[in-house]
Formats: sequence, structure tokens, C-alpha cells
Amino acid sequence: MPEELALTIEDLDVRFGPVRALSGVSLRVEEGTICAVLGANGAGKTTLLRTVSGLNRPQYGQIRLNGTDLTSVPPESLIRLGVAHVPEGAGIIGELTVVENLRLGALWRGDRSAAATSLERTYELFPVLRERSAQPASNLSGGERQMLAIGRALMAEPRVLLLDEPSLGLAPLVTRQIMQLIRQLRNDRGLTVLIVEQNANSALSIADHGVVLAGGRVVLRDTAEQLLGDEQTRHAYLGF
Amino acid sequence: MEHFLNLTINGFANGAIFAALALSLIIIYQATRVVNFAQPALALVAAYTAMAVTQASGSYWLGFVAALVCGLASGALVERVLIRPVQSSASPLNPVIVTLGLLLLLMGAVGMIWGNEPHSFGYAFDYRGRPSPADIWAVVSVALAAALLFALYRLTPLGLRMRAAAMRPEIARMLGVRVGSMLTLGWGIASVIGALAGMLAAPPFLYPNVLDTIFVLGLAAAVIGGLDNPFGAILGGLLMGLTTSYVSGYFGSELTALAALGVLIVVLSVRPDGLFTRPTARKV
Repeated sequence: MPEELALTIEDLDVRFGPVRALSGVSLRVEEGTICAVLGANGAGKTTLLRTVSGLNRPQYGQIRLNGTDLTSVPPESLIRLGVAHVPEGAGIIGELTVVENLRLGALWRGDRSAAATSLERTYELFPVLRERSAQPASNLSGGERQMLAIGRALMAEPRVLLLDEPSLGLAPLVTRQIMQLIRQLRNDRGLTVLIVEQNANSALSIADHGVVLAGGRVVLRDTAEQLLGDEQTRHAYLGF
Repeated sequence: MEHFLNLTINGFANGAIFAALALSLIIIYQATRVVNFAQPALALVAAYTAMAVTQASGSYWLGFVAALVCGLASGALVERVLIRPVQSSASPLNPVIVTLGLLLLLMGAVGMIWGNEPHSFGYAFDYRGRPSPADIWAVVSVALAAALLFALYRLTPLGLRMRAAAMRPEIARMLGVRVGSMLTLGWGIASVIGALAGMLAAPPFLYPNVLDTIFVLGLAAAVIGGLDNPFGAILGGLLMGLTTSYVSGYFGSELTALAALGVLIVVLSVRPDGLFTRPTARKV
């Protein structure tokens, strides 16, 4: 069997008690591409990401990265396999300083000089984080928090980035900056990105492929271009 | 004037002990939101262990080290075996009740093993003079322990992991922190500080109820400090130590408990969240 270079989700079922959050969700994100998962509130988008990162356990189905089974890998081990998760609302730790938040992302590597290199790279990407490195992270603006969260994930030097609603609560201009940055990361570092968004327009503007979830099922999948171009699907599922 | 000086010195020495107990409570409270009522019992077991080791070896310091090791091991064990299974239960009160039960169990067990009558228990240093070497040791050892704690939590990668695990466990897990191990370690470290407090507070006699008053004052110190702030715990401890020392020196020792309660009421009516807690927004 040839080695598959992709994040593969197969036939995923997730239930919370009697509630089916995901039913038979399958998805394949080729290495170095961006896949946008779209859908309304409660469609199962966040559940999907949390299941990939091991925070939720699926009742059925499999998640693989380049042929390695991730399905029963606990969250604290996932980052060691090259998957970094930026949770909904950024998930920065407000009581810690900016630089402490960043350092946390690289601690598992246990390699100080590699961490220092990653820190320098992250500061080059986000100069504002260098300026504010000694401040408590709670002082940051919404856009800066999202940058910090992405920067912290990059400190782990991941191959796969899971992004949960990076545009949440951000001004349109800031959202555009963040999206451009994600595109740039994919181009420069060959990152594989699975991005969950309610803001379908901005996510599709940088994605290669898109998937629409409704009621925990995949109802539509296509290239980002097609999804953006087809007026009917836009009206029916994406609301713009 | 000399009386005042003596009382002040005595207040600092006692305050250091209250501060150590308050610290041990706060480390656990910050990490797991549990007030560990079993802390004095763990310290008691550590002190009895020290007594046994000292009797067998003839060395006070071997016993002292044994007490700290016993604190580390027992604290870690309690978290892992007793607290972890009830931590995720619906009521946040459950782990607290478990610590209360453990307190009664351990105090009973200590009495069964070593008896309820007092055993003589040595000071680390000479207790005569004001300040006596033992007084100085109480202040110095607690200050040293607090400094080491500060360095561990603020300056080392391990400390960063422990803080992250305490603040946002789920986020910490996503960043590769083994949260369970960090909590176990936190309980262990807290109980080392508790064991130190026990070693300082017990002399000259060791018996199952020897730490009761000290624990109540230590808990009051932790609450005064805001339950969430290590500096608050230390200052709360010193405040308690000085107040109780002055009151018992000038007005009689029977008023000590009342004075402690008075300080607690005054502080909490002026600053309901304790002296040093900044108001923080919590997401629910």
C-alpha cells in the first residue's frame, strides 16, 4: 500500500448520550492543502475538530494521518504526532504572559534551542507579539489573541493545523489578515490545514476544498472555487 | 518594649508556620479548586514518620528529610488514588468531602499506631532565647521554601506546565502537557510544604491533635490572602501570627482563637475576596 500523505477521516460517528453530533462523516485533506468545514451553528463543526484532536471519542470511524491511526490517541500526544489545534475562541491563557503562552507550544519538544528558533520565526511572522511578549495575554486585542493562538500552535512545528473559527468576533479587516496568513503558512511551510468556519466566504477564499456540514452529516463537498461560484449552494447552505 | 519585641518575634515564627500551611492549601486550591482539609493529617503522618526515623537513626535531620519525602509521596498518592476519581463528578463538593473523610481516617490511624498520648518531639535547633535559633529556623526555612516554590513555578518549564495545567487544563492538554501528572505533582509539592509546617509546629510534643489549631489559623490565613495568591498566603500567615501573638501576650492566650476570628471577619468584610485577589472575569 502506498503511503498516503493526507489527514483522513472515515465514517465518523460521534454521539453525546442520545444526541448524534456526527453521522458517517468522511473527509480527506491532502498534505499541503486547506480544507474548509462550513455549516451553521450546531452542525457539528467543532465536534469534528475536537474528535480529530482526541477531546471527543468517536463511537465509530477512524482518523488517520499519513497512515498512522489517530483515533484513540489522547490529546496530549497528538501534538507530538504533528497535529496542532487552535480551539474556538483562541484558547490563550490570559494569566500567562504572551511569551509564556508561546513557550508552552514548544515545551513538549524538550529542546531549548529548537524552541528558541521557533520563537524567533513566530516573532517574525507576528511582530506585535514580540512587542508585547512580557504582557499578560489577557491584554491582547481579539486579533492579537488569534495571532498568539496560531503562533503558539506553530511553536510545535506541526504538519497539520486545526483551526476552530479563527474569525470569531474579529473585524472584517482583521479576519482577512488572519486568513491571508493561513494561506501563507500553507504556501511557505506546506502545512495541511483543516479550518472550521461560519464565515464561509472568507474561509473559502483561502481554501482548496470545502465541506458543508448540516445536522452532523456532510451535505456538500467540492472545490472551494465551485462552492464559491455556485449561487444556488451559496444561498442554500452558506447564507451569502 | 522588650515584651513587644518578644511578641513580635514569636509572631513572625508562628506566622511563618501559618504561612507554610496556607501555601500548601493554596497550591492545591489553585490547581484543583479543592480545599484540602486532609493537609494537617498528611503533615501529622509526616511528623510521626520523622519521629520514627529519628528514633531509629538518632538523627533529627534524617527524620526531617523523611518527613518531606513522606509529604511528597502521600500528597501525590492522595491526588492520584482518592481525588482524581471524584474530581470529575457533578458536585465540586465531593473531593472536599473526601479530604474531610481522609482527615478523620488518618488522625484515627495515627492514634491507633502511635497512641493518643504525647510523645516528646525535638526542635531542629535550640528553642531558648528571643529570637531563638528555632524561631529563626522557622522563618528562614519557610522563606526558603517559598522562594524555591516561586522559582519552580515562575522560572522553569515544569512550573510553566504546572501553571498551564491548573489554569486551563484542556488547553494545556492540547499543547502536550500531561495534566494528570502535573496535578499529582502539585499535590505532592503542597504536602511537602505542609510537612515542613508540621515539623515546625509540632515541638515539643507530638500527638494526634497537635496541628488542629494551627491548621485552623493556616486556613484563615489562606482565606485572608484570597485563596488564590501565594503572596497573599504568606502575608495572611504573618498577619495571623502577629495578631495572635500580640493578643495572647497582652490580653491572655484564651483570646487567641477569638482574635483570629476577629481578623478574619474584619478582612472579609472589607475585602470579601481576600486581601490580594484581583477581581477576575471567569468564563462559564
